[in-house]
Amino acid sequence: MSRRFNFVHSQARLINRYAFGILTALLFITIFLFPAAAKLKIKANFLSLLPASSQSVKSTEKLIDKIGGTSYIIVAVESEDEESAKLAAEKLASAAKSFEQVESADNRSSIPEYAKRHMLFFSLDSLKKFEKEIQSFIDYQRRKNSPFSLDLIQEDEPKVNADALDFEEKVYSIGAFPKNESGTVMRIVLIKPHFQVGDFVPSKRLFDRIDMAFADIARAMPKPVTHGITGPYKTRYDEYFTITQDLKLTTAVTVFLIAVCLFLGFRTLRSWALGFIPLAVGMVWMCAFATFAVGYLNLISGFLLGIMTGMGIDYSLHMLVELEEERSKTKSTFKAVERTIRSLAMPLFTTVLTTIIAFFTLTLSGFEGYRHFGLIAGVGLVLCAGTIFYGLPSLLVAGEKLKLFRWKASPPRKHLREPRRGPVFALVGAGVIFSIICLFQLPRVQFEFNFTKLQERDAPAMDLAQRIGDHFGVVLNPVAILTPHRERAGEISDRIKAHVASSPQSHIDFSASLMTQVPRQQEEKIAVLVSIREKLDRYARLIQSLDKDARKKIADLREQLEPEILTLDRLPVSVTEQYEGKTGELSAVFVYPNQSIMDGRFAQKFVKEIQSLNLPADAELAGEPMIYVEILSMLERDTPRAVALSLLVIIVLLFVHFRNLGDVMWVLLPVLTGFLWMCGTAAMLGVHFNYMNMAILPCVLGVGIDSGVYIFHRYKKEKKSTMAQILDKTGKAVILSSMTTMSAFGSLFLAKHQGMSSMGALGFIGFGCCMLASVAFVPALMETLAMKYWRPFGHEAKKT
Amino acid sequence: MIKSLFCFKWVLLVCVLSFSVRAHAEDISAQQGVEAFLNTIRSMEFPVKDAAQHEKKIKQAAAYLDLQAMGEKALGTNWAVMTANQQKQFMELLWKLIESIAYPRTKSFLGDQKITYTDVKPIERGVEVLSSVHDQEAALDVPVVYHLYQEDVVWKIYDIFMDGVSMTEDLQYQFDKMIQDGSVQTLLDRMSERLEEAQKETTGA
Repeated sequence: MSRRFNFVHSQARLINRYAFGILTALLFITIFLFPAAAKLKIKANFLSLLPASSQSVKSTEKLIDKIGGTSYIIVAVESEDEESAKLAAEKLASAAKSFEQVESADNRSSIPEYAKRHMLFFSLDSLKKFEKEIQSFIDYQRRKNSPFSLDLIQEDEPKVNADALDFEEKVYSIGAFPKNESGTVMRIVLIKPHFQVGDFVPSKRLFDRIDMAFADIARAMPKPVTHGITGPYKTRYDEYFTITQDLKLTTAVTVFLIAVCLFLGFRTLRSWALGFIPLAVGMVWMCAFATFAVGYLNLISGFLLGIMTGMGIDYSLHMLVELEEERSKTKSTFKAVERTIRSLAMPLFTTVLTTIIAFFTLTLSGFEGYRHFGLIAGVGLVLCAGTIFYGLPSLLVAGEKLKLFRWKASPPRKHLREPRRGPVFALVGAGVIFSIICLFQLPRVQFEFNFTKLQERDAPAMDLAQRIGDHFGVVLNPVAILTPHRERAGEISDRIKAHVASSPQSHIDFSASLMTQVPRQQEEKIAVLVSIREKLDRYARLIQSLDKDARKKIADLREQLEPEILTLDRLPVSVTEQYEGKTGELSAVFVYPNQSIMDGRFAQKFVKEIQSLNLPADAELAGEPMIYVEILSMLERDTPRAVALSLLVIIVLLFVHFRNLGDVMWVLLPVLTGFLWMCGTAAMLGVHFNYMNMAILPCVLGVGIDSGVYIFHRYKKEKKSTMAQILDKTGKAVILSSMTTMSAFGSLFLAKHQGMSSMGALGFIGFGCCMLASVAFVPALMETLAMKYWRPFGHEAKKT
Repeated sequence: MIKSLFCFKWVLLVCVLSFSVRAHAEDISAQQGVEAFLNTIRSMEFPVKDAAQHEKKIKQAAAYLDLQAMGEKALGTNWAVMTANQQKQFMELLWKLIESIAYPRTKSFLGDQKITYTDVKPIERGVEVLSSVHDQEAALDVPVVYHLYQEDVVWKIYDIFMDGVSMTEDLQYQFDKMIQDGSVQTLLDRMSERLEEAQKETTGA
């Protein structure tokens, strides 16, 4: 007896004899591991997608640690009435200071140090122009009021708009002053909590507290005021909440769809128990492993539960199909189990191996998102295959011993009707034509560089962040350059300003350091303001004759016309801390892009431009753009490598297994065809590849090869050469397993998270294409070739 | 010789005294001229009820105003460019506009406000009379300064400054703008048009 037969026999005997023991062991291990599995958390931030050793992660953590990063809760208070917005913002800032979770609350619009110095933040030229506007306005009013004016000219009242003054530095526009845009005044309140971004429970409590406090404040305001919350705390929480909700929904839908597939395939409740219980055990083990090995799931590995349910159930399906077949042929459960194991051990082993190789190649990536995904999925698959391999037959044996399952002698199987030559040729022809079409579609395959298209759909916090940026005319998400001291920061900021001024094609909008917060040419500006004040004093009678609104505006303006010089040591603490944190160990320069960095291509150019500025050696780049760019760079570098490497290793493995080039090509044919069709279909349907859905390419590769292995095994070992023969039994398992996997991915369509949804779209297309290639095109091709030209494996070609 | 010197002293004294008396008389006259001008305007009725009476007052007021000088100065270099006909037409229209617009407005502006004359100072050409109109409603004083020169025995106003800005300059701004946007004829047409509008307002039509 061969070694293989001995192994199969011993395993069958083990299961038959110790079914209860195996099930008890599985149960105890599961109970033991369950608490660890339940602890598995999701980290919904981009930082967790990169290795801790990555320079951008280190620098960004340093930024967060020493300066606090951009980690604020941003509350935007809006009203059509300037006074109401101002009052509500002040009250909210004051209320927030009393919350125990809050370290500081800063109403940027009403910083006392800036109260009478607003005009110093405008450019000297702008102030001079403003003085002229005031003079024109006065002249106009004087002419209008002069008894000797003959009113020969029809002139409009000259506009004097203090809101149209140009800031000397664009950074001053970020929330520091209220701005009236389309009739709405926006005020910004920055709240710094005691806890970190990603602490979701206290975050949620604080958001609720802010909402409640604001509701009370809004009721007391003379005019309607509204508020919105955004900032990293809010966007991360929203993303986490969306993903959690999506995971619950999609996992439930996946389980339901798989249950439907199982019922359609087997039409017994028994198949549910046998299919799901061992898989559920394997999933608990996988989660426990994830907790021990990594500690959390990231944005990409977070979707594993659904995906693994769809993929893991495949092993159950193949076993169930085989067991049903064998059990209907013999009354001996032992024999049925033995024959099933004999029939499936090798293909199961090969498919598990090829799939885990596909997954493990992802662990070679520097991109933590893929690494964790590959590691957890690879090990999870082994665990699921193990629990199914031993658990499913053990359940069957135990169920039979307990008389829970009763097998009816199955009626003779209705074999698929031998197809005629025409349909077979038609299938081959259609497959070839579709392949050609897909080949021409390949250049249209696109990669989605826009990160916003991978986040929650209609995310209010993201929209608000965008609106704040638009309102103040600034794109948020700067790159932070960390420097050892403020002089160096000032020097770098000046260098960047000079670079921007001399580079019309620059991707940089502006830069700002702490030094930038001190306005320039203050003495000259004060002289202009004094001149304006003198004009207003001189024409007090004219001003007195203006309407109430105009008089109010001029009165407000008068308050800004006697500023004291603002020096570095008089800057508000909140502003100093924004650049140097509480410790002052570092001083940051913030470099703002002139377009959204959520467009990955732009982010790459923006960061590259900053890197090309020959910054001093002691300057470090940090911040979200650096993270995005590093993610993209890693993806561009690692994804083709991962796919190529997994393909190479799988080919080598198949060679070792089959020891024949032709055999390997036949096994690879379904997946290669499926891959081609997937890319072509994605291009035709406008489904873009992105950094999230590319993680499933190795899955498609691994699972697609599984189908090839099962089909080819049937073809070669069992000498089935017609399409009908190939598809009979094995086809059912392949179709069912592909359908369950497609169900898992299809359910992701329902996700609000666009990244998750895109994984669903690509997975559905990919597995669908592989299934069609496996069960239709390749078997039809085999039959066509077997008709005339081919003598596969020595058996006679079908007579035509 | 001593007698001659004594006589010379007397002559000098008389001269000095007569100069200072004359200077004081000029002050009073200039201020009185302004007062008479303003009183004449205050006594006018708008809308006009008694045309003959109104015409008489217009003539009285005109006697205190050198509008020719004001008009020429306001036109600047454009005055020389104009034809004699245009100059004549311009001055006629300017007089009528002052009568139809400036006088009613001045009357309305002065109302019952108290006018205080603070000083009279000699300037390069004649004197300036500094006054202040107390705006009771706004509780503010409006400084109004008149520039006058003496022609024969009459003091003539050749510019008025309100809130520190010259009326002539104001007119100059309007004339320049009209001529720059069109031509001298455009200015004349606009003045005619404006006069029609103003006369309708003055007569209450």
